[in-house]
Amino acid sequence: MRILLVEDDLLLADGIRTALQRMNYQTEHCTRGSELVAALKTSEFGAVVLDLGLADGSSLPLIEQLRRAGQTVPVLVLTALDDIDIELKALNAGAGDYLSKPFDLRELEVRLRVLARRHQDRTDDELNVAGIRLNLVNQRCWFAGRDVTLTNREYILLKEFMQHPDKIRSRQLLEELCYGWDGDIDSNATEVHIHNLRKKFGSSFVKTVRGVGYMLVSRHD
Amino acid sequence: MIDSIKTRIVLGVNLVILLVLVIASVVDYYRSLHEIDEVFDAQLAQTSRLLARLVENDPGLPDRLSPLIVAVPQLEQQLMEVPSALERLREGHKYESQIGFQVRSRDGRLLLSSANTSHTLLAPLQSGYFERSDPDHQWISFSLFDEASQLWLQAGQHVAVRDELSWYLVSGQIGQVLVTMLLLSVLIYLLVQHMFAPVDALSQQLQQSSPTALQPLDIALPTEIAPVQRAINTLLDNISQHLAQEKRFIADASHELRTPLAILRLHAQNISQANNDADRKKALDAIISSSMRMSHLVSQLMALARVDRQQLTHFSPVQLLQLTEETLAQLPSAQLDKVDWQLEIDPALYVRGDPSLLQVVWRNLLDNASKYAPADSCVQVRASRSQQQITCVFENYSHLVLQPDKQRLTDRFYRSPGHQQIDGAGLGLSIVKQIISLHQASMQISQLEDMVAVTLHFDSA
Repeated sequence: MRILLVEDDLLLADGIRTALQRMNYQTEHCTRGSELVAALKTSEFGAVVLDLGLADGSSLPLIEQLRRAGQTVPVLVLTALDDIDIELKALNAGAGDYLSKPFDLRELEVRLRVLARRHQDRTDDELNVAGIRLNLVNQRCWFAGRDVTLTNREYILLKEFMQHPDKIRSRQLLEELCYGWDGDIDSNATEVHIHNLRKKFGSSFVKTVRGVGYMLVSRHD
Repeated sequence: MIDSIKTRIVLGVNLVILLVLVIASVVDYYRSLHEIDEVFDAQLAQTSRLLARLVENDPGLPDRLSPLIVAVPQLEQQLMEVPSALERLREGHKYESQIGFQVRSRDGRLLLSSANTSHTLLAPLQSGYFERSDPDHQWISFSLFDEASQLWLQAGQHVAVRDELSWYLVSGQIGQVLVTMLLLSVLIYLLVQHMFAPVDALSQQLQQSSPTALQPLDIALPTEIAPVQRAINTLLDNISQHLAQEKRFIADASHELRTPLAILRLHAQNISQANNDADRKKALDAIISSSMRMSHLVSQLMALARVDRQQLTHFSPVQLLQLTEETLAQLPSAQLDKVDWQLEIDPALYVRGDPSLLQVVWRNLLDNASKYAPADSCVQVRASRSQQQITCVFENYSHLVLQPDKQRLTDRFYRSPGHQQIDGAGLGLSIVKQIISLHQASMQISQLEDMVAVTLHFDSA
């Protein structure tokens, strides 16, 4: 799952980003509300972490603006104010959840996972598609009755495919998921990862859509 | 002492009225007594003259060997007070025993006497009024010598009769005074109660206010006390503003401390979970920066709290050049070396102010100028005198356009969105503004193209 972090405090943003990356969440960072809108237009994100105290005061109107534009991406709001009114306002504007500073990293991760689970209409954190089981809490995977060991990037790609079965995931999206905005777009590393996944789950597990991207096929007729 | 104004007024007014009534009664009493004396004295004289005319027709009287006694009925004194009509008896009046008359020969031999005076000498053989006592009574009498009959004619009266009458007068007055006093006291008490009703309402409403319920008072008060209510309302207003300020300060402080705390916690967790040295080093650096930011924030907060509470300042002349140079010397050397400083300050320029507070102002403004200016640009500090004012300008380059949020720069914790990457708590200008207003000076922030200037105007010392 790819996360977009909107935070104008660089030290805080850096800490969150490092932590989420370590937990296999590709995280992009921007400092302004306007950058958030632009990023959502060009890339797909699993969740947005938005600081309510952006210096330009744009946070609350921003959520409303996103919802009016039909953006359904879950938004987790970070707030430094111990003020229930503000938190309720954020939730009413369309935020999915909020977290008060200072917070524990584990709580941030759990809340993001729960937001995604709710967004994808699931009741637990285990994906089960095409005979593959993937646990999102401990990041373990089973296939054909045995444990499968995954690298971090393989895990990120597999999770993306399993969360969107039978839907085309573009090359660009997959590349950004693995390497972020700053990654080397020209490399064919993503293809290498998909090749490795096919070796582990069978060659027909992910179908190549020429010129567009890849798609997980949940049922083989 | 009596503490209640109401009691003081009631007692005071009553005492004054009592005094006036007593004086009036005493004056009245003596005037009545005088009138009574005049009437009775005239009566005594008339009785003597009437007696003279009567005894003229009795030529044998001077030759009598024993005096002729005129009987006086001995009537019982009733113990109870009865109406005058009941005392008027057919036999006469009980008071007859208290008045008497005598006729004496030229040499003083008693010729005629009322029965109750037959054994006493009413008056000496001399014309005029006399007061004298016999063992039983004190008499006041009039003595007249008739040349035609060569006889002394004397009429007398018990002094007690007059005393009795005066006693009636006194007791009558006392009764009147007491009744009047009682009635007046009640009326005065009611009147004072009525007049003090608004004051009672005022104190009642004041007792009901508490720091959590500081409602302004709105009682219809007489003009004498209305200013008190206005003063109290002003005070209440000040107090609630002060409380709101404190509340906002605490909320702001806790809000501002949360972000650095979050940074500390995040990076600490990152250290414990990092799997390479580079990540650990990065997190460690972030913790150090964040704790420095926190200590700066705390010291700025303390400065702000101190300035907020400061009312009286010890003003003395402060030399602007010295102030600027001393403050510059306190800046961290990295900041000092970042820009070129250009000072244009006449050593003869002084402002009146609190030296340590002014140093806080200078420190914040110089700090800001070097912090927000591009490296190696020029920061100017100028001071000049014009008529009654001394103007100080702190000017630096800035690529950022401040125009839209210039007004908010002095708000607490406000930081321009373009400055978020530069360390700061957003309190400096707020502190400066507070200190400047304590000095009755003014501050303006202006921007002309890419030059930002903070201008201070002081009244010249």
